[in-house]
This record gives sequence, C-alpha cells and structure tokens, in this order.
Amino acid sequence: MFRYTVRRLLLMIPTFIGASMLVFFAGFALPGDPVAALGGERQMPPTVRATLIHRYHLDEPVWKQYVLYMGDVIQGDLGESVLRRRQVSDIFRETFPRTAKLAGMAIVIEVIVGLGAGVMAALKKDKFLDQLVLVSTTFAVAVPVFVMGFAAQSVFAIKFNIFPVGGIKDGAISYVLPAIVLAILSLAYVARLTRTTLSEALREDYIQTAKAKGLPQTRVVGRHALRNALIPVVTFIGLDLAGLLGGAIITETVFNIPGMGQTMVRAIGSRDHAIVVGFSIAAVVIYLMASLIIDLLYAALDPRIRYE
Amino acid sequence: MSDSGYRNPGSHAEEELEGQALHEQTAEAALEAALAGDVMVIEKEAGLFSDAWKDVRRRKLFWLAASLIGLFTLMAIAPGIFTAPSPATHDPRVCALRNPDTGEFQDLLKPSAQHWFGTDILGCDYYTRVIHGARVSIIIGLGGTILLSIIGLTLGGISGFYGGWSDVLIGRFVDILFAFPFIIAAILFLNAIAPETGRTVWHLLIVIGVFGWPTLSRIFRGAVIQAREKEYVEAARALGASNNRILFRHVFPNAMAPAIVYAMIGIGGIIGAEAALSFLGIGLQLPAISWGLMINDAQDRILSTPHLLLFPGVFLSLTVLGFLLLGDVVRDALDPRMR
Repeated sequence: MFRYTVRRLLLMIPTFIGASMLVFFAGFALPGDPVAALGGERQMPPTVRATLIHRYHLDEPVWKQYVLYMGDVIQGDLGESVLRRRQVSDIFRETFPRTAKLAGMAIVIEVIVGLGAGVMAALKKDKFLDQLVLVSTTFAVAVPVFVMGFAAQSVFAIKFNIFPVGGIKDGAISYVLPAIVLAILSLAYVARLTRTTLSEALREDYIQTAKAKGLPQTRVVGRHALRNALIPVVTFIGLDLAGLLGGAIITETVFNIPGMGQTMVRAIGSRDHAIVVGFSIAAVVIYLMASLIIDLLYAALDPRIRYE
Repeated sequence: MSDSGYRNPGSHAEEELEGQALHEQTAEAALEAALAGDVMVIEKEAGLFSDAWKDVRRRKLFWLAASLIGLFTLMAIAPGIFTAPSPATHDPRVCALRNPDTGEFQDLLKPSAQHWFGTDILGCDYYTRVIHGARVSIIIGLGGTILLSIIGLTLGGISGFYGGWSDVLIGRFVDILFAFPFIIAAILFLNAIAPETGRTVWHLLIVIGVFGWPTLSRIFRGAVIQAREKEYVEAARALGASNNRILFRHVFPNAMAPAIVYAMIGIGGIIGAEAALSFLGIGLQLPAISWGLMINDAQDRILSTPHLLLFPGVFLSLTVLGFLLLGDVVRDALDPRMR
C-alpha cells in the first residue's frame, strides 16, 4: 500500500505540470492587455509602462514566466487581481466555502436519493418501480441544468415562495434549491450505476450461498451484495464531488451564488486574467487531490485491486 | 445465395476464419430451412451488429428516440418545412419592432394565432427562431461526436494495440486532460482561440473535439487490449496476416461496441454543453441562433414572459432526450450484460 501511494503521488507531478502549463499558456492567449489595465482609463507614460513590464517579468521568455509563477503558486500565492485590487488567494478563500457548501449539500442529496432509488430498482428489477427509476433518470439527464434551474426557480421560488430566488443572503436555506438542482443530474447517474452493479452482484454465486445459509434478505443485500456493488458508485461520487468543488459554474450563475464558478465566469467577462488562471489551477489541484484519495480508498476497499 | 434475403447484410461474423466454415454450414442450413419454410433458424447466426439491429427494432423506445432525432434533424436541415404553415415571417433575422400594418409595438408578445410562440424583445417571431435553433444543436452534437471519435479511436487504438511508449505517452496526456473539468477548459480555450465577436460553430467544435476524446480513448484502449488477446487474432497471425490486416479486420471491429455506445450516449451531453456555454456567454455569440442564447436572453424576464424560456428549453431537452434514449437502446442491444 505504501509503495502504491508513493507511486501514485509521483505520477501526479507530470500531470500537474502538464495541466498547469496548458492553463498558463491559454491565459497568455486571452485577449486584453494586462499592463494597460493597470493604468485604468488613463494613458500610461512609456517609462512607467516599461517599469511595470519589467516588474511583472513580462520581458522574460514565457517559460521563465511560467517557472516564476509556479514558484509562487506552490507557496500559495496565486497572483493579484488588478481589477479587484486583491490577492487571488484571498478571493479564493472567500468564494471556495460557498462552492463547497453547495457541492456538499448536493452530494448528500445525491447519495441518499440516488443510492436509495438504485437499490430499490435493482431489487425490483423489471417491475414497475424499476421502470419508474429508469424513465425518471433518463428525463433528469435530458433536461440541461440551466433549464432545470430556471424551472425550479420559477416554480418553487417565485410561484410558491418556498425558497429564496437567488443570492446567499438567507443563509443555509438559500443553498437548498440550487443544491437539489445540482444533485438531480448526478443523482440519476448514481441511481443507474447502483442499479446495474447491484443487480450484477445479486447474480453472483456467493449471494446464492448466503441465501442458502438462510440469512435474512436485508443482510444478504446489505452485507454481501451492496458492499461489492458500491465500489464503482463510490468512485463516481468522489469524482463528481471533485468536479463540483472546482466550481458549479452553471448552477451558481443561475442562482446568483458568488462561489468559484460565478466568480470565474465574471472574471472572463471583465478580462481579469489572474483570477481565471489562478482558479483554473486551483480546480485542477482539487481534482487531482480528490482522485488520489479515491484511488487510495479504492485500493483499500477492494483487495483485488492493489496495482502490483 | 446467403445474401438473398434471409441473412442480414453487413454481418461481421462472416469475416472470421472460423466463421467461414460456419457460414457455409448456415448457408446450407438456410437453403434447407427456406425450403422447409422455416427461416427462423439462421437469424440467430448473424453478427453482433445485425443481432443488435434486430433487437433494437422490436423496442418501442427505439422508435420514440428515432422519431425525436428524425424530427429535430429534419428541422436542422430544412427549417422551411416547419415554418411554412406559420402566418408570421419565415426568416428568423427579419424582426419588426412595430407591426408594419397597424404600427403597434409587437415586442414580447404572448403566444397567439399570429405568433405561435410569441415574440422576443426585438419583435422577432419566436416560433421561427426556435425552429431555426435546431441547426446549431444538431451540427454541434453530431460534428463534435465525429471529431472526438476520430481523435479518441485513433489514439485509443494506437495505445491499446501497440502498447509500450506510445501507450505511456498517450496515457499521460489523457490524465492531464482528465484533470480539467470540461467547462473550465472550454471557458479558458474558447476565449484564448477565438475573439468574443467572431466565435463560430467551428471554434466550439474544435474545443469539444480536443477536450472530449479522453474517455472514449480509454474505453476503446481497454476493448482493443481485450480483443488483441483473443485466439482468432493469434490464428490470423499464424496464417501470416499483416499487422494492418489484423488491426482493421479482426481487432477494431470487435472492440468497437463499447466505443459506439459511449459516443452515442455522449451526443446528447455535447448538445447540452453547447447550450450551456452559449447560455453563460462564452459559447456562440449573437447574432447566432442557438437555444442557449435564447435562454440567456429570456432569463431576465422570467416573470413576465416565461414562455420565452420555456420553448427553447423544451426543444433543447427533447433533442437531448432523443439521443440519450437512442444511446440507452443501443447499449442494451450491444451489451447483453445490462439486460
């Protein structure tokens, strides 16, 4: 296990370097002149401009700028947003908890409803309940998140006034409706995946053995079948959480939640490159860390998988 | 003889070495069976794809999916057919803020006999615009899938069949792309490669192709590795078949099924992604006609004119649903484990 962990950590390094390079060079190609932006509305004297270019190392070759930037990133410095006159890492610390709250709530809903529906569908395979789960999950996947978001907003927030329309002024309750909308898509996948893996596991020989021993149904399903069936489901949920933590961009935009995703979309609009590049790198790091944890969990859960 | 009706053309099993003998047997059996008036026997001997087609044809869901896809594809190719019966203008870019006859303002109208889906803020006939919105979605869904399949199948095939350094290299690359959430990649690269005003369907297709292939490539790589180890490949090699022949006649056709399933299910997702990007203001830009853009435009007036959000939303959802259902049906047919 130790050797596997070390190997997995080492493999992350080239991936991180490759991904951060892609982000960095794409950031360079973004439209707009960052030095001119520093001067705001006024024309900048050439000497000031030259000094600024030198101060921000913009006269160095691109690879050197990348090395300098990554040196700062490793120390937790994501640069400075010129427009907001704030450190990007401060903006990150402010917006990330909101995204995390939203993503966390969505994952809880996803696990409870998705797993429940999947288990029921697998136990009653080809019966009415199973068909219901199959049909409703297909529809849930077919309706794009922003369409569903607006539909939920106009029905539950505007018409029936159960939830706030948007923003985060009302505390935890403002996250509930967006979290439900965010959860619906992944919930459908979790339900379908659980249904497939569980109904496959239920056909295994060891289930027949367990039944033959006279174990009660709940124990056969819960202890023997579900345990083995859950491994791919756990992986899916973990990767889903990792993706959501990088910014639930569409949901945050629809419900006006100032998390990482909305901040990034706004930064693109205002050409705030430091935020775009910094947040993209943060999203990549979050994703890599999460997938590392999942892989380690995976190896711990399933002794058949130890990768040498 | 065997192609004269009882056997489904396009059967892949015939290609195999062992299949050759089987084929002759069944041809004889077919003749006998046909003479005896019983054709059912041979149907079981057809290849994976013709079997799948037989299976698929019997399912109601398939016909639902096919009619949805057919409807929206026709809408994309010939929107004129759908706008012809409407009394309003048939050109989605001809908009009149005032009614030319009465001189009254006609922006943000509710649905009526004249304007079936109402009008938008510029007085454009919304029915015509929504119908014309199908084209972008279908082009992006099909074009994006073709593009990412070409890249994914090529790299996945190389990676799986040759292994070694090419596998390591492609694998690293896949890892890097996996670390990018798709929408972040799209935001970053669409803005980097295309100016805000000149963004076209092509730019979107490129971003979808370049960032969409890794999953397909992984799936195909796995399937190729499995197929590569089969006895019929060894037999072909022993008979002196070239690498290319083994690759294209034996390994690839047998590894295609999971890749096809993934690509088909993916079409709906790509259509949704384009709409989402356009909705966020980072995909297509006006004056392009896209359901995502219409929804973006309608979101501010969700209280007064909810129908401006509803119509493109429903059309978009039904298109995605059609492709999802098709993918589901095909998966059930090609992967008997899921039944």
